[in-house]
Amino acid sequence: MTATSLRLIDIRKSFPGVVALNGISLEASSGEVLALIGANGAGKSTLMNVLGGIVRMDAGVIEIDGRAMELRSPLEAKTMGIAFVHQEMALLPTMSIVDNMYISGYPRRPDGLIDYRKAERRCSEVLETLGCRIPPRTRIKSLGAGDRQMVEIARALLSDPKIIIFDEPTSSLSSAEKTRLFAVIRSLKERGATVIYITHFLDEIFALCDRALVLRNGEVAGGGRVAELDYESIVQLMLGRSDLDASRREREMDSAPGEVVLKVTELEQKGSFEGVNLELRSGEVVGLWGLLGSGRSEIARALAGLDHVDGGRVEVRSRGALRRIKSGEAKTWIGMITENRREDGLLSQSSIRKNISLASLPSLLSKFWPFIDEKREKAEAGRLIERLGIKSAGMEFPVATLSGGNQQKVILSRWLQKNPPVLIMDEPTRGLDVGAKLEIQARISSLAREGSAILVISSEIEEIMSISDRYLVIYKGRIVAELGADASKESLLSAAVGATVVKQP
Amino acid sequence: MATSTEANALAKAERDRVLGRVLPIALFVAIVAFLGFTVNHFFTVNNLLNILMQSSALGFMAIGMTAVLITGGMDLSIPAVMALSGILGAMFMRAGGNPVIASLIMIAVGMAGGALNGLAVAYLRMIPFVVTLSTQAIAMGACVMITNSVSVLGLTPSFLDVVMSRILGIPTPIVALALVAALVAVLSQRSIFGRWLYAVGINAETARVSGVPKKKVLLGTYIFAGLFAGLAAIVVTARLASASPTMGQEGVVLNVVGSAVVGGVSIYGGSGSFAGAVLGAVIITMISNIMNMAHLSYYATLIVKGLVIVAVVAIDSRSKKA
Repeated sequence: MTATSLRLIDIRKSFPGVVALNGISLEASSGEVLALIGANGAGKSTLMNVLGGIVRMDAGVIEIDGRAMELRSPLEAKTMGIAFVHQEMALLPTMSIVDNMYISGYPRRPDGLIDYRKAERRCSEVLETLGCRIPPRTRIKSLGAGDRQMVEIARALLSDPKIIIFDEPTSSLSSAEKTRLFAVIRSLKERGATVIYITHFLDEIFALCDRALVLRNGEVAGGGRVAELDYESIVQLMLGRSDLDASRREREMDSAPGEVVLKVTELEQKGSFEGVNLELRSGEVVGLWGLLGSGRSEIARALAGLDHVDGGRVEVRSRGALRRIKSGEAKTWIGMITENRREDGLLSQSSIRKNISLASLPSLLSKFWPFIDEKREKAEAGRLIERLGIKSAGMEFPVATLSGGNQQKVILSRWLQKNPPVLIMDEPTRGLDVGAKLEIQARISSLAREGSAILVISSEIEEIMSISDRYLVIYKGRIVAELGADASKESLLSAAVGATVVKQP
Repeated sequence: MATSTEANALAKAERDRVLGRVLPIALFVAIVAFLGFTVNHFFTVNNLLNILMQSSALGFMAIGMTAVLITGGMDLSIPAVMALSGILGAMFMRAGGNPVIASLIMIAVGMAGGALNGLAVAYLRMIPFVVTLSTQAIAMGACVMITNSVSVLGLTPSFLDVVMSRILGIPTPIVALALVAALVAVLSQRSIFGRWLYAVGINAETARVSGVPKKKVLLGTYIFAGLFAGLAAIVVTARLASASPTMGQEGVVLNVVGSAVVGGVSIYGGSGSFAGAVLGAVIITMISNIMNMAHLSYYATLIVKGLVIVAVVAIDSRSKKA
């Protein structure tokens, strides 16, 4: 291990209403792999955005090789020798490898045209250092996920960076591809690069990294040499000592859950999840808990009939007995609030009334002719608006005119009106302010008390703990643990990062 | 802060709504006023009925196009399918067939063409533009091959008599268009299919998540457009007392799209009214008439209509972006 190449001193950054980074300092040496870990919202992304020149810090010093730097733009960060390998693969599938690598600035010939000969030579060189012998003219779309990841890395290496930041690079890789990626990272390290490796998966830290730094609430919670750390100590640092003893949620169960209304057996979607077994009873809220990329949203969408499944069976209670349903029928029985309100939750230009009644139109038909009974539609919408306390200038105004919390209540109303036996909610309070969050959470609990079976996904552990009656923990596309209401924050987090694998009962 | 953005959004929504309603009507009034002042005897019953008569087939096709545009799609094949329907129905009559069955054949052929488009768009997830351009080529090719570019004459006289008859002095196609347009306008607001149509156009994913059978809605929409191509075929065949491939010539597509767009239908999907589309058909017909009277060539007319459509779409885009 040689000299310190990157030093961050007391980095601070606030966004309106939130302190994202509250004085973070870190050092990384050339020839070292530093793991950066932290729960969602700990400040990892903001810190990396500061380093990448995307976000400007409020205070602090960034030193590279002992010289203080100012990073005002991504281009400046690149010139200073900082490169990113992003989690989201940002490649143009129909173009070749060489085009993708040089798209932001091709070498030119004297006549002004692209110097492909030079570009391809350099491209092959870089790919070869990664152990890749793919012709530079190959199109991206004919490559597998692992090779695409290599192209991403090659693109980052093109500018000969001293500091390379990997942001969750393994989320779409198979285990063989992962092994190859790790070998590449080790060889980068041997050549003297400084590698910062961001991940959710603790096993990767032990397999690859030299040191680990844990962030929590915008501060450095602790860390050290990986050889001296273990799963428990990392999880404890992520949580904070005081949190460990903090009392759990106080929601009391009014009544024991009812009968099983949804039974899922060996559900599978290739590449996303497999062997998913679960049961949902009426009157209970089950937290589907897992990290981003664990497969939790994929399971939810497949259950709701929005995406295909490759195997397994889904049964719902119908007229007193469990009955197997086809994927196409799922929408009749299972309501879904997706994680993207704007993208697939609302008809923005449409009125509040029409947004609420969208899923229940057949039940609103007039008795005499095949027209919608608008009087009844308005009455129903009005009732829900009042019940959920939706604040609007009137139900005929476009739903886009509402605040985020009220928009979410409109989506909730849509399903309340249809009233399917099972409701799945993916991040039901994302992007809402604290007041609206609490209100939606209270609604979820009262819905369950009225007999719905609810499956909830949330990235916020406090939220999922405050509303769930029990938990299913997802790790790499499988349910790895089934925990009861008394589960601790620690046990939830450990299971989600794969630290303990509890067999399903 | 939140309240002021909400107020802005409210104001903008209201402005868009008013603009969408007022623009076609304002254009209509302006053209009528212009014609009233410049043309002698413009405001005679005969002249007005004449314009409406010329608009009626276009109005039927514009209703079909409007449904497709509301889903965010496009149907370039409507005029060609209309011509093919007319030709097949006319040949059936020429061979001595019953005119009622001939009319049903025209409608059925139209719906079959629409089904072809709808299946490709909804179930094969093909791009509407490409699909309907191909259908247009296929239908047009079939028209020419079947007829050898010779008009099909010798239609059953009773067919012409009934379609071109007058109800209370008003030509039947005008009455039929008015009734059908009113029915479709009500259905679009009050039927489940109507709601689904707009929902798919505004946000297909939201519709799907909410349990709207998106594919069936799309298929149904293209079949609906085909049905109206068939209705238009009946009117055009009767008016010309013949059927020929030129019924579906390239200028007609422009007129159909123009009618819908001038009538306030957004080519981005999700908004537009059927009554507006019929009004648009009348506006487009009047523009053609003005050009005619000014002794401008057919091709100059194409340029003017093209410019009008681009202008209206530009306004539409502006209100979408803001």
